[in-house]
Amino acid sequence: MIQWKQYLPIAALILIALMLLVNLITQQWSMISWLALTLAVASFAIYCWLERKTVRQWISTRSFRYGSNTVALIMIVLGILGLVNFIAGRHNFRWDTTQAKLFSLSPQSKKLVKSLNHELHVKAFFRPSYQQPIRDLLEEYANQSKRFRYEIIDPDVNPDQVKRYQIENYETLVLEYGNKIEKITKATEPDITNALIRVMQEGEKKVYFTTMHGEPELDDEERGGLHHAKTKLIAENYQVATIFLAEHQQIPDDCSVLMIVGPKKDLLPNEYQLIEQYLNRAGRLMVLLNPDQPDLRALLSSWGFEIGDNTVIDISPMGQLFGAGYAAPLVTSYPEHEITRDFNLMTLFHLVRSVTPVNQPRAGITVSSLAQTSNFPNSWGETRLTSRVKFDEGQDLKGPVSIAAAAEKEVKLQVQGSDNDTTAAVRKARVVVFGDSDFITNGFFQFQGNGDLFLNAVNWLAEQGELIAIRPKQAEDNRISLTTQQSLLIFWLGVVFLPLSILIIGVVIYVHRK
Amino acid sequence: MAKVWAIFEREMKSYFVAPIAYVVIALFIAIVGIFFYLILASFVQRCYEIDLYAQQWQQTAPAMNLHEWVTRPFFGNMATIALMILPLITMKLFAEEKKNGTIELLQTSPITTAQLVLGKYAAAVALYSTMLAITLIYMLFLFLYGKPEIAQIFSGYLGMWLIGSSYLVIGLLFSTFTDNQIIAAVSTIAVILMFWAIGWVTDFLSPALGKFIGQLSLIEHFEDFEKGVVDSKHIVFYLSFIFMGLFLSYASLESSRWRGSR
Repeated sequence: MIQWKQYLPIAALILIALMLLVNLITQQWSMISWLALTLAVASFAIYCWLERKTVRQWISTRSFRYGSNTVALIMIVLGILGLVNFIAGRHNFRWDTTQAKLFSLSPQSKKLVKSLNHELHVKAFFRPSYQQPIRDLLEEYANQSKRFRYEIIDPDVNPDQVKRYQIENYETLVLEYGNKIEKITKATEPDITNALIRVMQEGEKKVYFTTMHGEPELDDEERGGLHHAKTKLIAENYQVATIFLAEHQQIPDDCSVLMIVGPKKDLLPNEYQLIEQYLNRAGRLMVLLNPDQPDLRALLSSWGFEIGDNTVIDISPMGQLFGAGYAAPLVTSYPEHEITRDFNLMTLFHLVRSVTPVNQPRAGITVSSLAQTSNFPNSWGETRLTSRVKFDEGQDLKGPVSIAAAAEKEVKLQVQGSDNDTTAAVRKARVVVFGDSDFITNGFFQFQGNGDLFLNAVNWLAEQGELIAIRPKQAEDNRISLTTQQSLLIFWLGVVFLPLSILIIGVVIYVHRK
Repeated sequence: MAKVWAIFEREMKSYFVAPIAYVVIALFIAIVGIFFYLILASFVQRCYEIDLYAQQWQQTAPAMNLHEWVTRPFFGNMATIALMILPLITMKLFAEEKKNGTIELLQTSPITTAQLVLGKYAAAVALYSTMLAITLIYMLFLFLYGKPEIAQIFSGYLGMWLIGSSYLVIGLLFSTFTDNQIIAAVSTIAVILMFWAIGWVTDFLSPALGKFIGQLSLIEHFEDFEKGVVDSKHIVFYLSFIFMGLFLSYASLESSRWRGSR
């Protein structure tokens, strides 16, 4: 007859299983698991006590002694092997056998990943058939630091994640570090490492507006003020501050973008000097000018901008539709540039002068136009704005007139590393010039694409990409082409003849033996 | 050592006298060969298509890497095929001796259990190494018609050898548990699959536990070899795995001496 106490060990086992299940589901030690564990131990102890005679007998058998010895030995061996593997994991030697060193990070990337202070989460939005290369690459980063964690997400089956991170393209990477997020749409080592630098950089990006030259006020909520622009910048995670250049020895290091908005008086010579120095340290500058006001030509011409002494006239009927006068061109044409990529909104500029990229800028500088007015004869740059406005051949600038341009120049910087080694880093100095400042004042900021164009330009300027120059790796191109004969040879020799001959040898030997 | 060698020789003879070794090798080579042919054919086709596309749109064709497209998937497939085939080599090791009653003879002979385990395991590894060596013929085709990177192929074969030897040690262990060869083979496949798939469940566990469990996955340690990276930590893992399997087999055989005795 089975007595009730026989069930105690079974109950103990069930309780242990329950505890494990609860732990696995809730992923933590809860009240229930502690209770289950206590009950399991208690019921087992009660059983041992009630059946102490049997238990004592059993313990004294030879097989129990040997058995427990063996279990103990297995545990010890497991422990030692675990330790060996732990140490081997910490001090591993990795040999990348590929010729192009496809699975090795550059020393810069390695060093950077190792310097992570807290956890970095990378989410890669890739379709399944494109996941392998990015998995290989991210695995190399993860190998360098425990703090680098990554996850590969199929955007098609995870719309919630796509929405949460506002993913617009396949093959997008999101780097999350603390409360900072960086998104990139190119997943090569240089891109990821530079995104890492950006996301690890402490503090917010700061935009400084110059004052004391008659610029519009940042806090002014009237038509001519910059309140909207300021609010929008803050919403985009920028810090906004004013700066009176003449008071400073140099432009602060935390300056991500320096803004000069519609100065009514020219800058002082030492202010020019500060800006020059700043740009030579790969600074970022945005200048918004107006017709018949200081044009900062001394500074801007050396960066490849030609500032026209004119006011752009646009007599195309489209502008009239929006109630814009002749002197307020409506712009719909944006030459190809990072700032204007996929930009398809209208912008309106009230009283604007031409800003044209010069044909041959100084060495190392690339300048390109950002926005153009409509074609001649609908639009031209008028040099003498009198009561009767008309195009004067030889004096006026023929349309389409460029009214904004961006310049870029690579600057080599020596970056002092933590252990006293300097690495050469390449950064770009960037300058954006608009021929008008009104378009970002409260009166015009919200017109169609005005605000967006401005923010695009600020974002482009504040971008700190290309911090470290790493050459992207390229797999060897060792393709194979086969003729039909070669392909047939491989098939018959490799797939049919080889296994068959092994089989025949086996049969022959077997039969021979028999 | 001489005794280990004696066991090894006896075991090798039994493999090659009976048709079992030839059937297993032929089966393995046939399946591996089909996969090799299909992978290579699709690579050649893809190179051709990409060239055509590039010409049509007047772009430069992207690099087509032989290793990425052929040898890497080839090793991945071979590891899966080995999973199914290798238990056929190990299933008989001890199960047959148990069934025939020869195990008692061996255990009462001057050969120690450790020597017995090592000799039999070495024979299984030797047979497996032969199988791997035959597949080198496929690599020969690659060298004949293309320019594969020899170091990557070495890395893949090293990984194959280590992961296969781990399968074999599981098979060895399970053949000590039973006198039925079918049960030994089936339970070996089941356990290898468990060690294979263990990495997939890690997403459902807490990160710390998941990382620990993931470390036990046989396939996760193989991935680096497959892509051409030789990492000492993976070698240490496989060697520890094999050592543990040998030790457990030893303990399992030893236990039959005292099991059930008072």
